[in-house]
Amino acid sequence: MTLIVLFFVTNVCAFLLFLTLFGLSQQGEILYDGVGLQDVVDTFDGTGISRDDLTELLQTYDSFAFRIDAGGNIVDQIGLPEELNHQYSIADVAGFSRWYLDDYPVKTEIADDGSITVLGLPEGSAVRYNIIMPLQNVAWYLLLIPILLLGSLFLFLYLQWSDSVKTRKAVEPILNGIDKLAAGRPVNLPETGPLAQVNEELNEASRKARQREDVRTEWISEVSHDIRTPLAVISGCAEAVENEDNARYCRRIQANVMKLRSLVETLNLNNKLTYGLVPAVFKEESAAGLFRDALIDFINENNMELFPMETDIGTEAEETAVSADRNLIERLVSNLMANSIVHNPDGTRIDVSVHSENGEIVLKIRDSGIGMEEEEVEKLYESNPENYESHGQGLRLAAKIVKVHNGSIRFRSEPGEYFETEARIPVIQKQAAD
Amino acid sequence: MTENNKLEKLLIVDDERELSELMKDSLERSGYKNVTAASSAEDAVRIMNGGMPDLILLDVMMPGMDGFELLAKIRETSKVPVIMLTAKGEAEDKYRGFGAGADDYLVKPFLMRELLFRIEAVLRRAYPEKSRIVRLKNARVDLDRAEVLRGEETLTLTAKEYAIFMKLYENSGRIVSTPSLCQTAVGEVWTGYESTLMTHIRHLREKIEADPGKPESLVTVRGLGYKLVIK
Repeated sequence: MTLIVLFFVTNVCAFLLFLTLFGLSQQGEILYDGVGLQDVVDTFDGTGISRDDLTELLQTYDSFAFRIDAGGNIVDQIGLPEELNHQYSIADVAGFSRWYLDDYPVKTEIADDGSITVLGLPEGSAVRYNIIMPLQNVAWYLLLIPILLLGSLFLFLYLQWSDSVKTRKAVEPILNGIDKLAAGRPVNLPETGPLAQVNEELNEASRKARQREDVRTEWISEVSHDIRTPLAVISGCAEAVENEDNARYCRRIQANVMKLRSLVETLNLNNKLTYGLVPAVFKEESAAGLFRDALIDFINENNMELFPMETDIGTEAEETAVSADRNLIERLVSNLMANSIVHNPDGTRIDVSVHSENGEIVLKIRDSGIGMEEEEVEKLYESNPENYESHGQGLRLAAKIVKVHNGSIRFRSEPGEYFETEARIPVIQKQAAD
Repeated sequence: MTENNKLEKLLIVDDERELSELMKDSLERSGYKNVTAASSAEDAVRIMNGGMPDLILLDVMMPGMDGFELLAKIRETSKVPVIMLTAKGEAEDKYRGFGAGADDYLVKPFLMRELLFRIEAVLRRAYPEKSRIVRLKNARVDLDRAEVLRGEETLTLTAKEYAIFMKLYENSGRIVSTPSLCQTAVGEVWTGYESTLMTHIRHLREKIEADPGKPESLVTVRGLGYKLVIK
């Protein structure tokens, strides 16, 4: 916009300046060093600068001046070329007053007594052109000028607009690319067009970031692998030496082994989900079946005898379908359940419910355990991997899994009273049965 | 776990010597007296050439030939049940394992009792012809004759009751969901069968429980399914 205004102002100024200059030379009063026809007239009249000064000036510029009376006879002259020193007829005067005098550009001034003063410039030193046109045409010209101005303005605006469209077209994918890069997703921009170099650099940056992520993911994966085998040995030994006297300690070792296992798995999957390395496989699943299977899996694989559980799966949820990745849902349920049993004392009651409600399937897992302070709860919604704290990783992964399913999650707690997670996942709207 | 000696030949294939020794120990203490351990796939191939085991516990990640490659090689010639042991625990691995013909899948670290449950379940599925009497708290069930023995009394199980009992028995100690029991009884299309299933469960309880109102062997896990507790 600023550019447009600037353009307009510049145009108007240029036009005015041109007119002003044009007007000056039209009057032709000032030719050299501030000396013009009027000075010649004055000198001839005996009132202006001295005759010697004028002579010197005219010589400097190869110019000349003369005056003829009404009869065409030369009455005064300075530096007049020989071939011009003759009497002038009316026809001659008519000719040179408008055009040239023998190829010399001249300016003329007619005095009241009918004498004519002439200032001549060297041959070829100036162009003289008299414009004569019908008044009607002048009006057209006057009209044409604003039209041309407007036209060039529109042309300019169009160029400006098409340029900005082109720029936006070229820049938009780059901006998207930067966003993707920031989010750690792969960037692959076409390496053509005016901004090809920028695209190339972005692609390269993405490739490098990707490589680093791959290396890190691979590393985490390997570390988690390497941790699992010794854990299996520790857990197995604890089971092997378990007897009535030390059952409490052996169970504690096993519980902590499972805690470490869950931590390692969470770390691994969290990293992969963050960088989009595990593509979720969505299938249409019965909501009740999906969550029931996940719960049963968890209970079957973990020692839940010491945690009284109440499960309430709504009959309406049996008929409800969701689009879900079975593995991720298993992980979601297992992380939420593990959170309740790992941090709470034996005997903590756990309530699980699955219901269909307002087009969403609602999973609630609530324990009557030690709960969590409000500020700790707030931190669970943190999704920036840089701000992660090791505490609450499992719940954060749960939140991420729900997000992958286009759902929402809420954590609620009252310290010393309860901790509750409510996950909502949109259901697939069924077509009317036929 | 029962203290009876079990005759099944088991083969453990894992390069982690410590873990495979521990598994061997646990299995032997649970009655599996015929357990061999191989420290590599190549080693396992040599052992199998001397006679196929009844069940193989196969680690995925091993130097040289890995678990998947060995499984593929085994499946070229044999249907021997294989339980994969993995330290990765990722979805792709799980599906790759099942796709390659594994019978079950365990993620390290696992509880030894979990391993024993899985071994027993897989063996029961793989060798159903073996004569077996299941001891419950208040009755014994003769699987060959589909009969419940209670003191002097002998009660016969119907076909559906038997199918449901078998499913619970194969997964004894673990929860089996209502839908999966319905599927066992009537196949894929089971919707609406839940109430009939409850009738079968009631009849089963009348046959195997001392007090069907307070079941001790065939217990309900509210909201999830049923579980068979073996003595």
